[in-house]
Amino acid sequence: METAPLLAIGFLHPAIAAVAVATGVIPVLIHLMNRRRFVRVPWAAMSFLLAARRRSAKRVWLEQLLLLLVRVAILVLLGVAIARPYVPASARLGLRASRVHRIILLDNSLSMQAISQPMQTGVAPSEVGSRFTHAKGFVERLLASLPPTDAVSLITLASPASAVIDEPATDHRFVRERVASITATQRSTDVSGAIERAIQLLASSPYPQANRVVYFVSDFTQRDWFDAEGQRRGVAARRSAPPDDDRSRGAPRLVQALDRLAQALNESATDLHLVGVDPQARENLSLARLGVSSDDGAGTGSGLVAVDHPVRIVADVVNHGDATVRDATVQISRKTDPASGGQIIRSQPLGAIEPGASVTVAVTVVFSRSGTHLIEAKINRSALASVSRAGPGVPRGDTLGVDDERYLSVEVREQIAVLLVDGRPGTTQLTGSAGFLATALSPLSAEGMPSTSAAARRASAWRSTALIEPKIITEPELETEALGNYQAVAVCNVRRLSESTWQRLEAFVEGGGGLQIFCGDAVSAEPYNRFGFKEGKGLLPARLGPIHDTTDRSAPMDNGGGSQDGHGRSDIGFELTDPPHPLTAEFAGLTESGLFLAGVHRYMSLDGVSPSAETVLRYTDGQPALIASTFGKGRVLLWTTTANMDWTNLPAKGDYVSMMLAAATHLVPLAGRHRNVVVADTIMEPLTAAETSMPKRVTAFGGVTPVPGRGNRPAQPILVPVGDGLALAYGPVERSGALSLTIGSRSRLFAANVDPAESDLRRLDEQALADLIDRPVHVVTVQAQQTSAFGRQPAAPRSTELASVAVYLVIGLLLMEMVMAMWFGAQRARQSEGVMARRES
Amino acid sequence: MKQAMSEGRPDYHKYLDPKVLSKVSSLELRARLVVEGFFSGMHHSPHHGASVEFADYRAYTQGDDLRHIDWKVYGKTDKYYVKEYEQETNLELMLVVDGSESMNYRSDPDGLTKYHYAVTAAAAIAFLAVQQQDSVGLTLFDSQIVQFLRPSNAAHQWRVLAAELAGHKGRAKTSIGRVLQELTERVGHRMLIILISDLFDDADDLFRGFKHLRFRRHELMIWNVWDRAELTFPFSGPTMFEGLESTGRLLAESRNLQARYLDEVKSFRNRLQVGCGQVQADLAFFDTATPLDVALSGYLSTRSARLRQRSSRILGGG
Repeated sequence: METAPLLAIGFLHPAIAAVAVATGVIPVLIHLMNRRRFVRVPWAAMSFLLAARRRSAKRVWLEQLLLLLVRVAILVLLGVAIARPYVPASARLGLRASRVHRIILLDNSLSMQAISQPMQTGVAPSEVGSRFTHAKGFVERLLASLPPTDAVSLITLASPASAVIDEPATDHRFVRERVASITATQRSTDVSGAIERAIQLLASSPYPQANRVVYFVSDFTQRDWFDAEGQRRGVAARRSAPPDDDRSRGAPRLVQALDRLAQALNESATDLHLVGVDPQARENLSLARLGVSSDDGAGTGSGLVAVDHPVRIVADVVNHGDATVRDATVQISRKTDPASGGQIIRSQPLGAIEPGASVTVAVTVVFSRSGTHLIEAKINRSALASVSRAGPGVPRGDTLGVDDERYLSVEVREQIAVLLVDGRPGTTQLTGSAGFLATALSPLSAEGMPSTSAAARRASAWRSTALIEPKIITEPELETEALGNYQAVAVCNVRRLSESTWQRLEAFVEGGGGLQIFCGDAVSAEPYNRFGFKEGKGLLPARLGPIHDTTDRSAPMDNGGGSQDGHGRSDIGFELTDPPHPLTAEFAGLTESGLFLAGVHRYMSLDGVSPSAETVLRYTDGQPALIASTFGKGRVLLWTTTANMDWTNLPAKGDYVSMMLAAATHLVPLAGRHRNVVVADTIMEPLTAAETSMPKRVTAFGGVTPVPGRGNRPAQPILVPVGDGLALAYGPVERSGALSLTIGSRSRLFAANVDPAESDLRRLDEQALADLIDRPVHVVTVQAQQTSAFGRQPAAPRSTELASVAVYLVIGLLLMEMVMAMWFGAQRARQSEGVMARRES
Repeated sequence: MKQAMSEGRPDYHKYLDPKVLSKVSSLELRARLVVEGFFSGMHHSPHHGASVEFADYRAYTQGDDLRHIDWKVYGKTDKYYVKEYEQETNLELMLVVDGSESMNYRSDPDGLTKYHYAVTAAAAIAFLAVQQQDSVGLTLFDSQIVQFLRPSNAAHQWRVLAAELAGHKGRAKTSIGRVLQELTERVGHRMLIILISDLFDDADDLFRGFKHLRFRRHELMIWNVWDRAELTFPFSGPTMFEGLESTGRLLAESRNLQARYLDEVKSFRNRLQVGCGQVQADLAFFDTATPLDVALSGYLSTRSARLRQRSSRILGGG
């Protein structure tokens, strides 16, 4: 805290103080204006007047000056009183200190549940508690040490941050009760929200500016303050860049909140205490992810999950501590019955996990029936018997148990339904525009394909199952087809779509569906651009241009890729972007793969690409071949060539199957994604019209219900409008676990998990804490066994407010002004009357 | 009968009020009205006053005009007695009127300026004097004598005098002391001098002028004319006083100056009284709201006192 100069006076409302000083000019102005508003009188007896003026000038001037000064002082002091002046503690000269407003921000997020380990043997078990226990202990000790006149506000940091006591409370017993009622949650930390709340309380605080103290009681985990590399850079940029620098303007929300907090603290001369609790508790092994992956490496969480189709379930285990963890085991089980422990489908020892490293455990599961299924993974804590010592004083064991379990709700479909719209149907399937695509999506056999191609590998995995069920329709049939029955739609060489069809497709994609568009000779660019592109606001990610024929002699020839057919046509080929898009990443380096051997002799050029779209694949002449974009919750892919052999011979290559499956994987959303929620979220289940009237019941699917309700009353699901329909809302979720929602006779399973960011217990060091906010702060560290806060007396400024003094002065000056005005007036009247009387006599 | 007579005549008495007079623009008419008003309440008319009245007998001495021997007394007493008459000799009156710019002041737009008040009084006195066969002259001045009429009892004298007074526009400063000294040089034999002025001049110069006149044995009456506002200073609030004789301007809070100003006025008038007493000059204060009969009666009483004084000298001389 910077030392205030002696006799320095601050103001709660500096702007009003400035206005008050300015109002002091008013009496002077009135005086001057009155002098300008005089009456002109011709006068003969001037010599007597001048003589009288000579005799009385000095006395009258003195009287007027005195009155003017008093009136100026009245106005200035009145404004000053409203501006709430105060004398900071360092400048106080024997005046009585006034009350202090203490704003306590208490972190009750998941990371605060980390359990402290005794640093040495012989420490009483009662002193071993969670970070939150120590934080509450600190707050209770702080409250006990406060003078009874001090007021307290309380904010909790668990997301979303909320003010438990927003009005400053002087009843410390009430404050202690509220503190005792706060429990550690499994929610994440809302640092930004808490800072915003604190700024609001500071702004509305009725206490003198220097008489405010903010206590930030938290474990200050790095992820809370620098949860992304960008935010760290944002802070660094803010420090080094001038205020108007672009980097400063682009700082993320937390950095902006910190800036505002620093500004609010500086403006109000408020002290900030950063109270970090239990720096020793940091060893933690957590399950950072449990999800579905259709591929071993990509892990994109595809929605291609269907009955009797193998699905890979992956679980990531991360060691956040400083010590190598050995012999831990991850157990993945499939729960079908809430009462039983479930069927263990994988139990895998993790081996040695180095500090900061992660291990992925995968298991293939085949679901035999459709509907929602629950997968549970947990780290077998009994296996955490041996943790190597990183040095003296490092605690043993896993300090946070909540993140050792994760749940996954998987929706298994009977099949993935894809609708193919053929703009120029052929006599056989393969002569139509969508025939090759339908065959690729539902390959009955991989025979004839090169054994080395990626398509062959992928096709073999799908050989015996009909995962995708394509349905080919014609353009007129699309008008009446119910799009809700499909997960993706492909439009192949369709001349034009009506405006209403585009609108239906927009609604379909916005709701999560996938759309793939192929060009061709039949495509008329104008209606596509008008209703599809809509100047960048529509579904199409690019504006279609004229058809480009690569056999045109005027067209530039490219020597990269492509082929020359028997008719002497020079084709161009495909090439990957740099870096490759994830959708085509599997082809990187496979220069002999069919994708790169295929030729293209026509494509539809693009007049403009939406800024949000990205090129997935391009031709060897540099023009885009495949563009991806998102629209609402869904995705869109635009091919500038055909889906059949009209413009390219890619469909004849084995990689075509692989490309189309990858595209389907990209487009088809993971079903039931909304049934996997994070703690603090509210479960939302869209309902069909029939389901709205059916009986609904929510029960815990094993263990304790994640939605505890309030007090003794269990939480009840409620119907809320979502879009055009209704959804069932239930929550918010307070604990990780599983839930079963039964609507009629059909049950759906929900999984609730903690925010994996909370598992990283690494704490900011002292210097980083001090550097967090661009102003001087008090950094305090509360050790596990510390019993007092700041020693005997909490450090706090104690300033004295002077508003009442100013008010008394104003009253005194008002009386003085009245007396002076009356006295001077009476004196003049006496003199006049005396003269008149003598004259008359 | 008496009531009927009074009802048949106009009420001239009201014309003594300066407010009423101010509505009469002609100075001649104003002066006549004043005189009529003054005498309307008295029992005898000045038009019937005798200029030669019997006073006493004395023994005949050699050289006396035989025409004055009262033969009836000789028949009874066989002694020569001469009839002695109290004859009103011609009074010479010089009206000295201040026509400076300061005399143009008036605080009441419906009232008279100090100059108008002064010339009305002067014209009325002159009218009265002419009616009584007195010689009346005029000295009109500002910083110097701007008009000088020697005393005369000619019939047209009053009209000339009134025309001069009415035609003057005062725009210059006052210099009374110097003017009185010059007047002393102009008028040779003793006369009654009535100075009508606001006397806004240096007091020492004033007294020096008075002394000069008195040294030449002139009778001196001083009528000091004030405006009512100059005696009460009824202003309030910020006021810009603009001096009439280029005496500058003064912006002041009037209430703050009132007491001091009135003190100054009082002090000046006291000094005037003392100074006039020392030179045996009659000093009278008027304000422009004072009825003019006060001035006339003051003049007449002074005149009669002077005549009595003279007759006693005649008798004493016999």
